Amino acid sequence: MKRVRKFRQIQTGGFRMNRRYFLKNISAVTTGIALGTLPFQSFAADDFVTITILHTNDIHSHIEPFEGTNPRYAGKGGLARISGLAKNIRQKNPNTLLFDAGDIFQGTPYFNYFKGELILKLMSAAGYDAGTIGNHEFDNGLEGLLEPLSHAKFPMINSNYDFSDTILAGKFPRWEIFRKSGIKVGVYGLGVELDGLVTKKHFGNTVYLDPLKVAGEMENFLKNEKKCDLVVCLSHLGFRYRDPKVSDIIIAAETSFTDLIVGGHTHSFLEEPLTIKNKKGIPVVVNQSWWGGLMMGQIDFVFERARKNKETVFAQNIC
Amino acid sequence: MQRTFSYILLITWFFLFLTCKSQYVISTTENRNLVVSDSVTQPDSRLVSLYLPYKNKLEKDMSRIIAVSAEEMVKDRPESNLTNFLADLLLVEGAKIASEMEENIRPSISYYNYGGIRTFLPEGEITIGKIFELMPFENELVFLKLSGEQVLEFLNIIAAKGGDSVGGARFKIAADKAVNVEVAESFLNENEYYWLVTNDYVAAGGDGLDVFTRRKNFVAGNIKIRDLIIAHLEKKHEEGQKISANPDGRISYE
Repeated sequence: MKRVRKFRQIQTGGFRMNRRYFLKNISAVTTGIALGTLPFQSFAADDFVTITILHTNDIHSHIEPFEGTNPRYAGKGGLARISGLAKNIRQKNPNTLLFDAGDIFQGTPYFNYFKGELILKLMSAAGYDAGTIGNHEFDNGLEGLLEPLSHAKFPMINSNYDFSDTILAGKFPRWEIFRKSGIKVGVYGLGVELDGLVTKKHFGNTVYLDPLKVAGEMENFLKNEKKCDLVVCLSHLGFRYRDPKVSDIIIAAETSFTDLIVGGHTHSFLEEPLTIKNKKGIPVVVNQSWWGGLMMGQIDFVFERARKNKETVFAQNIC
Repeated sequence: MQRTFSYILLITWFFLFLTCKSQYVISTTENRNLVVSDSVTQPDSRLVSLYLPYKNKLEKDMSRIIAVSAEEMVKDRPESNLTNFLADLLLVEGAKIASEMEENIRPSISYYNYGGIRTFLPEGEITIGKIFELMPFENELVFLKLSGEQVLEFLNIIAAKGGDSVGGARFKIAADKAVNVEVAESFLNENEYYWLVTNDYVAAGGDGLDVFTRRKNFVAGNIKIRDLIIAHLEKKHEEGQKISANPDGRISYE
């Protein structure tokens, strides 16, 4: 069973509105041709660009759909279905990016047997554009993370683990920019504190840097230096905590240029993505889509091409 | 001139037609998203064919028989054949590992958390897959040095839970407390130290066992508990022994 809920429409009507604009423009074009003149405004039909962000988290090597009798899980999920869903959406809107927020390792015998190799191969075939590092990615130590990395045809972005004194030095980009129909999407990644969560011998000399400080640096760099139109954070910090521990909610509230936080770690089942105000009072979308590949988040950012302003945000969790 | 203009018009018209068409595709995204709400997404067959060889290999390995059980083993409280079997296995194998280490460790108590035992063992043939079902986690074996007082604190938690997977110790549950506690066949001495063999999950305070984080010493066994169980079963199987265990009154109500 799938459930789709539109959670937010800044402009009433949303896509429909967009289409109405388009239809209006079509008639303007037709009129223009009929009169033998071609005003530039008639290209307005092309003024809207929708960037679709699809995302998963905490797949935990659930390559096949869930088996068993659990009515909540059984028959759901599976990477082949994630891939099918993403490809369908991408076919309709080529300006689609597929992200993952970490913890792809550990959870089924597929991982025990084939380590990280199989999951990374499959995610590459599914067309993932980027991932990030979850704490379980350290389960087989630094070597266990390095070894299968060649099977990933997508970058695993992390900005707050300093690997320079480890064998993973230079293996994980701190940021990445994706260009889609003239729109620049800047992505950075935040990992959870490893001490206390991962055995020390498994993360070795990896240095954990303060996520909030790093987020500020990265978003400023991507927005102001690299002139990105959209800034996305792939986070494995966790959605929110009762104690003041840093979480996606805190990052969202304390940053200024991040537009979307794609989260993981807490396996949070969100009926709908959350929108909260950032430091400047601008809305930022925070989402997480359960775990095990049972759910996929979809966030559509509609841009008006001429001004490159975000016009509308649609977001939903598909499961 | 007139003709060139017509051509330009035609080409522009074509161009517009094309852009209009792509725009139309985007607008159908909305419809499709709504349709997804009540339809099953077709799995990507390319991905399935990619993992099928791995699946076959896995299934072949997982179906390998590594033990024969004399009886069905099911977990239960305060004790059961399965909880006792696993705890005793941990104590025996833990002692072997400890003897090969430099540290002077002689584990006298073992503990495996009830919640971490994920299925039962059927009577008859046991496959590797069954052991993966039983222990899906990657928990490793660890040794904890506890004071007698801490052992009592730990067993009081177990008593309050109504029993669990404990080896090497015997006690009675009275008013949610552990009484008449015996370790290695003598009464617990609160002033002595004891080595406990368990998994790293509870050693880190999991399942409410905060007492384990206050241990006097910690030594990692550097082996996955599942691997330990598999090796143990394989050895028994090679020797032609069936596995079995019985409730022996190690944990009972007063």
